Amino acid sequence: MSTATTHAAEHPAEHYPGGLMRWLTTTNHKDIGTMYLTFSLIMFFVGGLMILAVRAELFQPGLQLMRPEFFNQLIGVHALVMIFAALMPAATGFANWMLPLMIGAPDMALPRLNNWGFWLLPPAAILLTLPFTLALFGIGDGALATGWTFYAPLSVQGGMGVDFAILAVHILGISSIMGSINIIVTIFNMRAPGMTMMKLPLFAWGWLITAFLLIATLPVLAGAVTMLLTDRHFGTHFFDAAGGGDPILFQHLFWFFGHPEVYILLLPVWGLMPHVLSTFSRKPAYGYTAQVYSFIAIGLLSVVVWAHHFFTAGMPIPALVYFMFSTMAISIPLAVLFFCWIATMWKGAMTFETPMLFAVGFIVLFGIAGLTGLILADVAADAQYHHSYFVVAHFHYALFAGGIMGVMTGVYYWLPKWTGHMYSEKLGKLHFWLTVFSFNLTFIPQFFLGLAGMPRRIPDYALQFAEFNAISTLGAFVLGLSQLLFAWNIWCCVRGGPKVESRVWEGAEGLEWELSSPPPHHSWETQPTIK
Amino acid sequence: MKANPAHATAGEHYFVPQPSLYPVILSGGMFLLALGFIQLINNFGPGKWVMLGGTAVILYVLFGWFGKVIYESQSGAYRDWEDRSFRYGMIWFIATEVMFFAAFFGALFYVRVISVPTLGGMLPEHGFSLWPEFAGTWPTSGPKGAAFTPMGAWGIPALNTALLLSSGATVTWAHWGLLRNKRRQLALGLAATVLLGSVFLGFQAYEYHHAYNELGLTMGAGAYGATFFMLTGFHGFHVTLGTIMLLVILLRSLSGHFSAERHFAFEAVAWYWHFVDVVWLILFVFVYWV
Amino acid sequence: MAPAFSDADLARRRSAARRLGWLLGAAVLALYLIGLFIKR
Repeated sequence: MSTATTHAAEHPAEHYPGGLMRWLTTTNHKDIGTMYLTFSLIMFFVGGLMILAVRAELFQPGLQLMRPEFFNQLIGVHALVMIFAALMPAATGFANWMLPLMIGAPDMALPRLNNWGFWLLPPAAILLTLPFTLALFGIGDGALATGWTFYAPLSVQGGMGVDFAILAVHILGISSIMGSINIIVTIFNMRAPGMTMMKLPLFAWGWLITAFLLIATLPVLAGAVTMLLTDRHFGTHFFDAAGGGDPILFQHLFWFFGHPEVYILLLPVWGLMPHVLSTFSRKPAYGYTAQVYSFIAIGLLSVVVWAHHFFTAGMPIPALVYFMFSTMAISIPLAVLFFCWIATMWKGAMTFETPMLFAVGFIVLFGIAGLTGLILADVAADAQYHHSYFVVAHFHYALFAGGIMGVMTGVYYWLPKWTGHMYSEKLGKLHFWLTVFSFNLTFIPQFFLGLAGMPRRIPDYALQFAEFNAISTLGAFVLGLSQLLFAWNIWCCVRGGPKVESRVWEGAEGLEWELSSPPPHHSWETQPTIK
Repeated sequence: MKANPAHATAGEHYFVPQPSLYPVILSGGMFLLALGFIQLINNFGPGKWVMLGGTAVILYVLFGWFGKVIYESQSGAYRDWEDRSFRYGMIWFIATEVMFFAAFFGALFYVRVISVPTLGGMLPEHGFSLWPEFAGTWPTSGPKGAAFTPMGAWGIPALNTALLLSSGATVTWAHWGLLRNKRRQLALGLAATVLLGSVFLGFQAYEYHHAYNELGLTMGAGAYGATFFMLTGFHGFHVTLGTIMLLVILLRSLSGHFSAERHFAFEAVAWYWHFVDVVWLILFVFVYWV
Repeated sequence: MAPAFSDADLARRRSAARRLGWLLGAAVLALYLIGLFIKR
C-alpha cells in the first residue's frame, strides 16, 4: 500500500530524566502509550478481582460472603473500572503507540496534553476505589451501590460513594476528551506527505470515529452526572417528578453517552482486526472503502439509538418502534465489517500465530454478541429479557470477547514491535485456548439463566438457577487465573526473549513495520513520503 | 476527503516539547480539588482546606504551563505546522463544550416537552394523573414545588443580550486592528470586550440576587429553577473564564505579543468568546423568552 | 521471530482456506434451508 522512502534520522543525544521522573514528565508518545497499557493491565486485574468476589458469592444460592450492599458496590465499580480504566486506556495506549508510527508522524500532535490525559487516570481510579477503604475506617458506607449506570432516583438517595464516582467520571471524561482531541489533531495534521485520508490505515480510521464519538457524547455524561450531583446536594429537581423533573430523563442522558460508549470501546478493535487478519492471511485487507464507510455509518447510527437500553421504562409506542428499527439498522454496517473480515481470510495463506488465533476467536464470539444483540433490540422480546442475565451474557460477549480479546489481539500483534522481543508462542496459544474455553464456560450458562428469568444485580437467587451459576463461577475463576499467563507472558517478553526484525510478521504491511523493533525513541522525525 | 496538509518541506521538524512536570502536577491539583469537594458536601475531613490546596496547585500550573507556552511561542518554536495543531485542537475543544451545554438544553427541552406536560396529564396516552390539580404548564416548579415568579426576558436579560452581542463586535474590531497592525485599535477593542463581559457578569450577579431574594426563584424551584440556574450558571462560568482569557490576551498585546500573521492565542479566545455568545442567544430564547 | 513458511506450505494453506470457506458457506446454507422446514 505505502512505501517509506526515508528512515528515521539518528537523533543527537538529548538529556532526558531517568527513573520515575521519566514517566512523570514524559512527552514521548511511546512512553505515554506504555503507561496507558500498563495502567490498563493493572486495572484489568483490579476489576477482575472484584467480579471474582461477586462470582464467588453467586456460586451457591443464599448469602455466604458479603452483604447485598457490598455486592452492589462490587458490580458497579467492576463495570466502571473495566470500561473506563481497563478497556478505554488500552485502546488509547494502542493509539499513542501506533498512530504516529503508522501515519509517519514524529509524535502525537499535542505531547504535553497527551501526558496530562494519562496522568488524570490514576487520580480517577483512586477516587473510584477510595470509598471502599474509607468505609473500613468508618467514613461513609462504601462505593456507589447503584451499578455503573447511576440510575436516579437510587443514585440521588445513595451514599457518599456516588459523589466519589461522579467526580471520578468527571476526571475520566476530561482524560478521554483530551486523548480524543489529540488523536483527531494527530490524524488530521500529522500524516506523512502523500498519505491521503483514503490511504490512512484502518486502525487510524477506527480511532478517528471513536474520538469523534467521545467528543460528542462524553460531555453529555458530564452534564448528566453534574445534574445528579446538584440533585443530591444543591436542591435541584432534574430527576424528581415532584419538582417537574423525571428519573427517566437521567436514563436518556446517560444512554446518549452509554450507547456510543459501546462503539467507543469496539471501534479501535474493529480498526485493528483487518491489520491482523491481512498479515496472517498474507493478503491485503478486503474492502477498505467499505470498512471506512461502515465505521462512519456505525458512528452516526450509534448516537441515535440510545433508548433501546430502557425499552421497559415506559415510552410512547412510536418511540419504541423508532429505537427498535434504528438499533437493528446498525447490524447492516456491522455485517459489512464481518463479511470484510471473512473475505480477508478467504483464499489466504493463513497461519495461526497467537494474534491470529485471537482475531479468529474474536470474529466468532463477537458474532454471538451481535446476534444476541438483535434479540434484545426487539421491543417485544426485550420485555422478557431486559435486566436479566441474558443481557449480562450478551454484553460480555461484546465487551470481553469483542473488546478485551480484541485488545489482546493487538497486544500479541504489536508486543514484539514495542519490546523488540518475541513473546512465548506456546504460552500465548495456551492463554488463548484457556481464555476461549473458560469465557464460554462462564457466559453460555448465563444466557440460559437469563432466558429462565434470573435477574441481574441480585446477590441471591432461586434454587432452580443453582447449577448454571456454579458452572459460571467455575468458568470465571479459570478465566481469571488464565489471565495470569497473559501478564507473565508480557512480563517475560519485556524482560527478554528472542530478538525480532523490524518486520516482525512476514505478511505485515505498513509504515510501522519499516522501523526497527523496538522503534527509536524519536521516530519519523523526517517524515516518509507515501507514493 | 480532506486534502493532505502541505507541510512537506524537507527537513521541517515538528516541535515536540521537552519533558514537563506540569501535567502531572495539574492532575494532582484536580485530585485534591475533587477530593476536597466530596469532603465538603459530605461533611468529613478538612474539605475546604483540601479544595483550597487543590486550587492553589491548579493556579500554579496554569501560570507555569501557559507561561511556558507563551515563552515558546515568543521564542518562535511554533510555525505553521504546530499552529494548525492548536487550531484543530481548539475547534474540537469548543465542540465538546457545545455538547456539554447540549446536555442541559436537552434536559430543558425534555422537562418542557415531555415530563411537565405528562405530569399535568396532558399527553393522551396517559389516562390518569398523579396530581390532578397540577396544570402542567411552563414555567413551573412542579406539582409539589413552592410558588415563585419566573424571570422576565425584557429587563436585564435583554440588556445582557445587547452587551454580549456588542462584545462580539468589539472583539472582531480588535481583530481587524491586529490584522492591520493598528495596535491601539487592538488594545481598545480588547479592553472594551473585557469591560462588556464584566458588566454582563455584574448584571448576572444582580439578577441572581434579585431572583433569590425577591422572586423566590432558587435552584430548588423545581424544573424551572434547576434548568434556569444550571444553564445560566454554567454560561456565566464560561463568560468568567472568557473574560479572564481576554484580559490575558489584552495584557499580552499591551506587552507587544502577537503579529498580524501569527496570533493563534487571540483567535482561540475570540472563538471561545463567540461560542459563549451563541450559547447565550439560544439561552435567551429558550430560558428567558419563550 | 515466527518461522518462515515455504512457498509450497503457503500454497497448501491457500487452497485449504478456500476449501474451508466453501465448506462453511455450505454449512450455513444448509442450516438456512433446514430452518425453512422447521414448523413451530
